[in-house]
Amino acid sequence: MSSLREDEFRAEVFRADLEALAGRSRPVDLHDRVVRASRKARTVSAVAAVAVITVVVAGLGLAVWRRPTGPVLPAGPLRPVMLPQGDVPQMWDSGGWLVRDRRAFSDGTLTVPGWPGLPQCLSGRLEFMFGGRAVDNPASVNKEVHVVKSLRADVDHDGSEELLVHLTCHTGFQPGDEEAIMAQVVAYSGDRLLGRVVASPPHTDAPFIGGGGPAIHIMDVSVNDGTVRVDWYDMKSDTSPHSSTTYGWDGHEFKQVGDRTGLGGPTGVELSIEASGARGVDDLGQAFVAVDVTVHNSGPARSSALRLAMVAPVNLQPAGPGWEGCLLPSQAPWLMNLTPSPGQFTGAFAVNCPASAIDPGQTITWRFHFLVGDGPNAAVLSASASPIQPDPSIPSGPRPVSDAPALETISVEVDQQPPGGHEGDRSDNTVQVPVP
Amino acid sequence: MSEPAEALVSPEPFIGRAARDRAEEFAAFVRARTPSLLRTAFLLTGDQHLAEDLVQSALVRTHRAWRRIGPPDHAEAYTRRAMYHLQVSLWRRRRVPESLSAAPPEPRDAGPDETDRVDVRLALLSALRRLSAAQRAVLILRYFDDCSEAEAAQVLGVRVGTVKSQTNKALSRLRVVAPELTRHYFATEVDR
Repeated sequence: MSSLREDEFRAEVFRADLEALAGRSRPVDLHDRVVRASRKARTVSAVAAVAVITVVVAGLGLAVWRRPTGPVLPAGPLRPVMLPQGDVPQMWDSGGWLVRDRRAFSDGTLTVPGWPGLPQCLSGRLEFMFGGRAVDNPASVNKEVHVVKSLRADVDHDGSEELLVHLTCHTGFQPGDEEAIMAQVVAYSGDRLLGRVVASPPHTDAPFIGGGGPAIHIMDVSVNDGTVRVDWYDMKSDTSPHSSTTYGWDGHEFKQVGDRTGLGGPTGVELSIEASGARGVDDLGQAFVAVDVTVHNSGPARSSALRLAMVAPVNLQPAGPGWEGCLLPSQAPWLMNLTPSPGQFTGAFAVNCPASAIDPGQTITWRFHFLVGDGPNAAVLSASASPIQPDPSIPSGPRPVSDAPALETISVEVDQQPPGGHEGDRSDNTVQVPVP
Repeated sequence: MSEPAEALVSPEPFIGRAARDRAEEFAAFVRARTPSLLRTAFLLTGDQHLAEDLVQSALVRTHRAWRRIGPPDHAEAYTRRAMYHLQVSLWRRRRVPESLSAAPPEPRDAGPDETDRVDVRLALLSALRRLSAAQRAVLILRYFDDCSEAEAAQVLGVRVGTVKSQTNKALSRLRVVAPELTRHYFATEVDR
């Protein structure tokens, strides 16, 4: 590639286009957000300073810190809380990227209990934004807290539903990556914190996955008849890594109410997936493709919540009620314009759909519809993906991506939600459906 | 020691007035300059929400330093410098997926020429996202904020030579990631 001289560059044209692009930003009044964030950062700094002093003074106290009898540690009532506004989003992993659903929770505020053994993790009243992330300022990105999952259920048997939130504290271990070093499940009742259900032991040897100390990942949280079930995964165990423990509210705090239950196997879950596609025409004459996705769990354990991820050609447009709850490119532009396998095909988009857990032996089938043609995906992509079109005026230079064939299949993958960074069972869970 | 009675009730008139004035100055500054800051941030991030996040983070720094920053024009320079630094340093910590902006499409009633420009701008937006944060920052400083090489170097805290080399690399990279933009932004042999 030859280097450029700046005098070859049409700066005025470039400047005009930058001006036009910048004009697409929407003016927003950030004053209140800025002042609130600034005050919060001051508070967190002060709390951190106090925490450091406390840790030093209480150093000896660590020696008598009660070790948990199991990998999960119950705890009692804590401080008040502001409930989040709207649903708590999930985390999604798309094509290796840690992608967050930013649809909801942009202004959600939770009072997060302290993280036993990891005072550097954010706690107190935190504002969660951008897909359940709380970080007080960019410099503390290594200690941010995520909301992984939330659900509502009556866990204190008072006839009204409480909010259960699965939280993780993260640290970075190389640019762009991050790992959960601790997790806790917290229950909120109305406008107050009911109590911490469980907390995993801190993964103090992070940032190395599986390196050193305990590495317990809370995989899923569910409630059955008021009893909280926590599925967890012990990365250090060779014999029974995947287990489940149940907890109940005794009027004062959450206590373990059932023995640890081994879920068998590396994960206890064996997922298989089948998918087929059919083309049709609806009443309005619009061509569509219907894709049936069937997932079966042949393992002995109940899965955690599932995620269906699809990568589809750009000329298909998700449509119809089957996509309810899914994260679509129209809501998450970073799912657009994918090149899932560089050089192999191009012009694709991804969709992520949450799905319920699946019991041993259970089979679940979903049907998804795509409209065929120049839908919004195609319109946006054709405008934006023009780099893939070869330009005859360029005699040499980089090989245009458009040499790659267009995507002719819909790739469907089922996976367990990987809270805490655990990948779950990824074997035999991807299928390719030729576009009919 | 005798003190004014109102100070015992509320210390605001004595210790709060200056703070209140500063708060009002800061509020006026934020409301006046946020649109401009957002425009730059939008180019730096390619995304409205990320742009808001970036401007907010920079303004938080400004807010915390407000007492020692001085006049509003100093505050704007301070905020812009914080914004560029945050963007470049955040990019170093996180992988940022190459993606399109969340911005809505341009109006549909554009004529043929304008449609072509819209296509070019969409391609440019996509291409900018494929540059490194440092490359993007230097292009925006030079060609959007109209900074000289020396001014850009001062904002980024690098040497002028670095600005020159980053500019060159950014323009070369632009041709690689968006070859169809070449005819719009780069003079060809025929042109010259």
